[in-house]
Amino acid sequence: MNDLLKTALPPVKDLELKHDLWPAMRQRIDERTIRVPIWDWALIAAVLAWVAIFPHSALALLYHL
Amino acid sequence: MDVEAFEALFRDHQSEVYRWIMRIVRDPSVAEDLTLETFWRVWKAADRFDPQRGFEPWARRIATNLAITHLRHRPREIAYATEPVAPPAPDGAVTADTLLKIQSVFRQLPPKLQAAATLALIEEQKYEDIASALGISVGGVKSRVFRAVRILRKKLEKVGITP
Repeated sequence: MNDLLKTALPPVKDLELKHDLWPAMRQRIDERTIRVPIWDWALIAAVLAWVAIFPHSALALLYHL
Repeated sequence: MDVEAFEALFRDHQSEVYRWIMRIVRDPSVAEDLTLETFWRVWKAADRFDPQRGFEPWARRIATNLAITHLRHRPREIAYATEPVAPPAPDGAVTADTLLKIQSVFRQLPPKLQAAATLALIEEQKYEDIASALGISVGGVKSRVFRAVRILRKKLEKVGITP
């Protein structure tokens, strides 16, 4: 059975990677990593500061979300 | 893990991961895609990496799971002629039609059995390495290979091939 199998499906001879895959990997990391723009961070900080200064506004904020 | 450390890890191990996947899927472009997917999962789960257990077995296990998933979704049938495509070969020789039938029957094996049989019988990898990659015991690998051979024998007999 082994010989028959190896005749029909010979072991893979060329196992060497033809090119470096790192550039493709790096591109995938850059594309899929979620980046939050600095203006979004500023907006989040402003909202948190507003809620900290005026705690009662939190309910109004939640109502509008 | 920062990107520079990950790049070093990637460059050190990409060839070995590719070779392992290639042995299972036997298709260079698929093996490249699955190598990238393996490392992408490594990157996402880097916090769970245990250096004491070694990177290679961990990556190989992820790679094997992805390769088996690929086998599960690829077409299993290879069209082969019902009539012999070549005249009967002399004793001991195997016709092209027989080879196609064997390939087709092999691809119809359940993916987990197919992966174990490919690695053990065709690629002749160590049973310990296969067991580690499949996340089962060496006995479990032997069992899968035995079941694969039994199914192959039955199906080959049905298409007129007696191994």
